[in-house]
Amino acid sequence: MEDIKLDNLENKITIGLAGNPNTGKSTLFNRLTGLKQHTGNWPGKTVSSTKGYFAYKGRKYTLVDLPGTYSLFINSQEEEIARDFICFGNPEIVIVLVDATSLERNLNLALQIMEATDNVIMCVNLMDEAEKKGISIDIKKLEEKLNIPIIPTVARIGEGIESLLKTIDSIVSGELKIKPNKTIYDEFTERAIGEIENVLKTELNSAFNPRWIGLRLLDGDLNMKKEIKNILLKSNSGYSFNQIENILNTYDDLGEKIVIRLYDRAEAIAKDVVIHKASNKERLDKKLDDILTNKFTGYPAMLLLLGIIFWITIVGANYPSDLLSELFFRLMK
Amino acid sequence: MNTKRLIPLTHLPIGETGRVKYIEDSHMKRRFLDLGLTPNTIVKTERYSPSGNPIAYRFRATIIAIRREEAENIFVSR
Ligand SMILES: Nc1nc2c(ncn2[C@@H]2O[C@H](COP(=O)(O)OP(=O)(O)OP(=O)(O)O)[C@@H](O)[C@H]2O)c(=O)[nH]1
Ligand SMILES: [Mg+2]
Repeated sequence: MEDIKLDNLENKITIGLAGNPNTGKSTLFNRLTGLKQHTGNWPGKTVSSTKGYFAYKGRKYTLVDLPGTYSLFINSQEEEIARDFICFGNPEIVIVLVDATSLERNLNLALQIMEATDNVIMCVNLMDEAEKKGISIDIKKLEEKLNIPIIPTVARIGEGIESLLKTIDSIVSGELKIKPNKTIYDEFTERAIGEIENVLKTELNSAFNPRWIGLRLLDGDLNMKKEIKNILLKSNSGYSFNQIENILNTYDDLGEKIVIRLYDRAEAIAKDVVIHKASNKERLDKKLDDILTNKFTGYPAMLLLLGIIFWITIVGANYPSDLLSELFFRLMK
Repeated sequence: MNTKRLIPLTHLPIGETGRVKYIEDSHMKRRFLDLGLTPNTIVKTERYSPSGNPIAYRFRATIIAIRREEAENIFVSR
């Protein structure tokens, strides 16, 4: 296939595509790469990660479609694939797709990804669905809260793709530097993170993010612990690993605290940026109800309605009777 | 306000909501937290599958199916 040849070119830039299940990752992937990765209307369609390629403004990119997950804390195979890619796959950029109709839940994963890596772009997808449900999102405010670029998209019809590509380009060209607003934990947790960070900072090269590794270790992530142990032993820093073990013994398992804090923050942000307008239908319903149940307008409205029904029965017999009876029953309630 | 006793999620009738108050320590506890069933999260029983297991619950604007044996470990107040 043509795309495979691209694989051999130098300077390919790797981008990961992460998000909750069923948020449109594969749809966006297909849009960008021109491939036909299977998409489906049920969660968990993508089980392993798929690679595709695209070019923009003279640069070649590798795009990795990751399986949908609610979290990066390893609980399932999908989460492990997504986590390992983001942590050890060294992607230049991670695009996190969130569902505009359930931002709060989706933000949880986004916050975790922002903890692991700096170059994060958020696409708020399914904007059309949100619109239908009367949900709108203050993109500017969300951008301020997270301090990462945020792009509203409708992946199914390609809306927002151009703006996404431009953002990718400006990050790669160095024009745009991203420094996400990281989640701050309680004092106790922060102190523990700081202690581990201090040990790791001198031992690990800059490809690793010591704060995030510290968080994973405090969460009791055994795979991460093994990984770090291997790295430290290889570079002859067994003593540093002992130090880390001591710190972990001092601070009890902080995992639950960390999860709860992330969801609390997600909830607080969503409260601030998600606006629930009533959808068109709901608004009409409400207006009618207001008129018909109001003490002053209710009676005249009823008389008027009876008059109209009378008129229709005589004059226009074919008028949709469902509508009439619905209006009438509203009065009777 | 909350003098009422807690009930397992499996006792929450369809269409009704409860607030997560307690999750029994089990290998699934952490999984539930990761899915967003943190303390005081509002959960609604959405529907039963034909065999009655799993059960679909709605929380944080998403419907997620949970096996009956596991939902029994989640306690809510109504
Ligand atoms: N209305 C609407 N539907 C969309 C949009 N983007 C994707 N979809 C649809 O949403 C469904 C799920 O899309 P996928 O691309 O398979 O989602 P995914 O994130 O890859 O799902 P997993 O691999 O299971 O995590 C498909 O039916 C898409 O056609 C959008 O912006 N608007
Ligand atoms: Mg997919």
